[in-house]
Amino acid sequence: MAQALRAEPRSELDGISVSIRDPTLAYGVVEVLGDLKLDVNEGEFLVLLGDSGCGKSTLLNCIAGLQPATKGQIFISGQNVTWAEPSERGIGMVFQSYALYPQMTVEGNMSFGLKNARVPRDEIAPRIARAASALQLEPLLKRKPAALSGGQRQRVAIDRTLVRDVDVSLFDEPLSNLNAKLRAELRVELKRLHQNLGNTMIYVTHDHIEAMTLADRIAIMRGGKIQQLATADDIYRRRANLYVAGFIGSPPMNLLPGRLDGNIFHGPLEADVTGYDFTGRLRAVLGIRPEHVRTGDAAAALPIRAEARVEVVEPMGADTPVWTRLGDTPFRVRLDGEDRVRAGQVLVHRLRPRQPVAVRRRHRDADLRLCHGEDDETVPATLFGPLRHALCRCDPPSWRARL
Amino acid sequence: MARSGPPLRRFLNWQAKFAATPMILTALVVFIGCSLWTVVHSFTNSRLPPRLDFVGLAQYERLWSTPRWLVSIENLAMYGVCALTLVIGFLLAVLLDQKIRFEDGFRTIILFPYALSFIVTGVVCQWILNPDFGLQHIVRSAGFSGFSFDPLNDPSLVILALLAAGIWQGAGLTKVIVLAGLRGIDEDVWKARRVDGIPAWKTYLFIVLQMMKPVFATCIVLISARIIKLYDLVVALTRRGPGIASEVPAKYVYDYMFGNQNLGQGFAASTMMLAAVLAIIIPFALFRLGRKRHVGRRLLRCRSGRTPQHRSARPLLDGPASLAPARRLSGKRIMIYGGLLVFSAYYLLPLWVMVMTSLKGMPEIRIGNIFAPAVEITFEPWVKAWSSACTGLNCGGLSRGFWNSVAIVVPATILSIAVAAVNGYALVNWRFKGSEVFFTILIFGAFIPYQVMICPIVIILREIRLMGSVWGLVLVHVVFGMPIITLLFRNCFSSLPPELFKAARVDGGGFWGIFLRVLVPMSLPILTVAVILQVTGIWNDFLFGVIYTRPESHPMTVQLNNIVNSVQGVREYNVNMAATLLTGLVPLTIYFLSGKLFVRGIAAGAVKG
Repeated sequence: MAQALRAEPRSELDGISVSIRDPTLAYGVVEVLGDLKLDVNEGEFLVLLGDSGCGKSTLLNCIAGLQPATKGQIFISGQNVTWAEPSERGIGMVFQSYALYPQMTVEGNMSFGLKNARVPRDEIAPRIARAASALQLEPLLKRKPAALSGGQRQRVAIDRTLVRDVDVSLFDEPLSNLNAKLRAELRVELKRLHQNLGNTMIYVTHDHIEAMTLADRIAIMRGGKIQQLATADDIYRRRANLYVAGFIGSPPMNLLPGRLDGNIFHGPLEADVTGYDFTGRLRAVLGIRPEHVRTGDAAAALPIRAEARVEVVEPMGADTPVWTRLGDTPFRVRLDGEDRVRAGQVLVHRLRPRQPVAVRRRHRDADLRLCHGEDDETVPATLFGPLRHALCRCDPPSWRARL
Repeated sequence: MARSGPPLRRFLNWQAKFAATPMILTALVVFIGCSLWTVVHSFTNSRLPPRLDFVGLAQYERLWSTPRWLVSIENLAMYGVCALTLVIGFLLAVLLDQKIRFEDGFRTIILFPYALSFIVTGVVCQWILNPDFGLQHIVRSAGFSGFSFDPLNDPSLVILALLAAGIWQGAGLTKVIVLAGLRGIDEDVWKARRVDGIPAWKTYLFIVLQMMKPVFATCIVLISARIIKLYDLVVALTRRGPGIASEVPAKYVYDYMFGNQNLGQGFAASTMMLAAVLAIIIPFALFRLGRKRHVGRRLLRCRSGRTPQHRSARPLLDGPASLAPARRLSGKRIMIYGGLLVFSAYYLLPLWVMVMTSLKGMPEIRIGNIFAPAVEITFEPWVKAWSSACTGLNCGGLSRGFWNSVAIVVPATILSIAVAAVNGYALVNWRFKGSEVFFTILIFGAFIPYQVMICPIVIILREIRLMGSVWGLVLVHVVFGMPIITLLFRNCFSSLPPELFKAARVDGGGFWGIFLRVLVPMSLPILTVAVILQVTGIWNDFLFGVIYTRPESHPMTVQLNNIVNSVQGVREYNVNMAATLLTGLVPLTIYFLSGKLFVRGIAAGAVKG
């Protein structure tokens, strides 16, 4: 063990809580995780986000040591734990199905790990009391999991990791089994907890709202690779590729296929994209966020204009997602809740392209964005044919360089 | 960088292998080793002791020219062809599936003989068919003095007696499996049938029967395997008589090995049995491996009640039956209840006869008929059976056998369950290279006829100086109970959420810590099933008891057989019946107390064959 836990030079891992370098996990010949390097800072809340099968849970299990990596290295708190047992890594883990031991009381569930670690008896009680108070579990300590509601069970599961005073807490879709209301409640509670405790948390989810609200940084994963690792704000405004663009946002971004001719985009709508980095004659995808589309008189001054027929209206109170069609292309917009639209109506969309790149790179008003399709698999090959690699870019190269 | 492989993981893996050692040893030494030993020695002219003196196929030539063997094969074929248990079991299951009242009561009645030992069944049937007191006597005294029905002394009818006894004991098993299959069929099929207006019998014949093909395949394999092994029943009911008319292969093997001490001949015959079983099992296994679903498997979960993934299908063993409740007593309902009552009478009568006979004095038995209730109730036969019935010259009663059986059952049950639970745990949560191979061998081993392995086991037990003792028999029961109990626990553990195991590992539970403190407490229901299965199974065992123990440590079933079939003195039928009831009391009590858990155990034990 001593050999496996050899400390790394301090300089390299200073301030880094968890570091993963090229973990490879092979099921037979299939490699699930590719080349991947991920450093999680101390006290950071990192969210691994992706569709099912993207490798996010596998990566989490790798960090936990439940599925030992076949190659690569994992450091936690400056120690190489690649081959260490889960219980020796200084981690706690919360599962989607709570995974409470049904035959033990809440107290028993919380103390099981401590007992296994041979913590003295008189130390266990105060630790349980302290952890229980963090999530208001004191009245439930003597109950068994079967007598708890879903939200309470998940609180116990979270507390079970707190009581062990671990450096890193891992969450595997902890809120997915709860109903919408509880999920929102527990989400806030989790964020408050993180702000109070300040320990490192790694959180796996497929829900981008959870990811955006909780994370210090989000890693969007696909096919075992990280597509983009950035703050929620950056991911929303400066997505690295088409996949990220289509993944984040609700409803997701409209991706309109078309052609770029000089500075004019031709597709389901026409747009002047002067001021972007790309010009020339090539195929391109125009990405427009539904919430950036304006309608009505107030928007009359905006330069880009398109007419669309309303198909389906989904009133949600505060705002109203509307499914429209630009010619044959589906196009979603999100209107204010006060706007009245009916199915069949023709709606005039108006948009404003962002400010020219030359003025400011960190723009605030990115209504219109061209995305590149380079190294991007989501775009069906039939759409682009052989020209897939000659597409225009979404962002200046500098953004990708930061990844 | 540490690239050499995870050291701790290796250690844990080593622990898993260590924990699975009993399974590996059983698979390799007993199931493969002993079978091969017997097959090899079947080509020798071994007498006692076995020698490697090869004579080629001489033993087989002799075997196939021995009338006794040919008769036994013929009987087996007859028995197999006439094995109506499948039809009767299906019929019973369909009757029980009609949303009837007292379903639990009928089910209990139909299944209870399965809890009894073949020896008990044999003794009871022998009594009912007794020409001087039983059926023939009753019909004659009713006025038909020319009536003759004496299957036990009529070579052409004796197979019918075996068959009736076999159905009495075994049809319940088929019923359980078929009923589980019926209840597993999507309720929407029945809704569709009602919407389309198809008659119920047509639905059963053309739709349900087609959907149940795999279930029937399972039943046929199980029944065949049981028939090939048929031994205890013949010993207790007919002792291959009259003449050799009811000889069966298993008895042939036993007689040649231990009676005539012609081991080579016995080996050849048992090898033939092995070949027959393999011919049935291998195609079935290949068929099954292709499609992983298993009727029994769903019955084997740790937690029976909550299986959310099957919420649309009906619960297997309880809950509403398929058809809408009939409001009035229609002709159809009368037929259903009538049928069930007839079957119930068939199943209950032997029990009635047993109890009544055991309460009568000998004079009353001689003048009355066996179905008449006891007039002068006396408990003397019970006392005598317990404390002074004779086997040969030893007149200590059954009590000695009872305590021997207790001394065998308790350690054998505890040991076999402990070993098998650890096996199941290692198989599910700590898979190591080859673990599935060993498990497959183990399951195959459950089907190998015991006759193939008994002789080498005698030699092994003698080498480790356990031959003849209670502990030797305990060891044998642990070995032969392992396949089914391991399967039970393996399926149970693999139905638990894997996150639980992961959480326990993060919490630092070691190999044994997770097993003892997380998994075992969660699998208490399956533990109960295993206990029931093992206690009744070991209690009812006859073959191993006869072979591996000396007379002073014979278990109760063996002693019962000796008492009943002892030829000295006057036959005291009331004492015999009391002894039979005493022997059946333990499994019957367990059966009536445990109810549904026992049914689950049987469905699991079905694989044991």
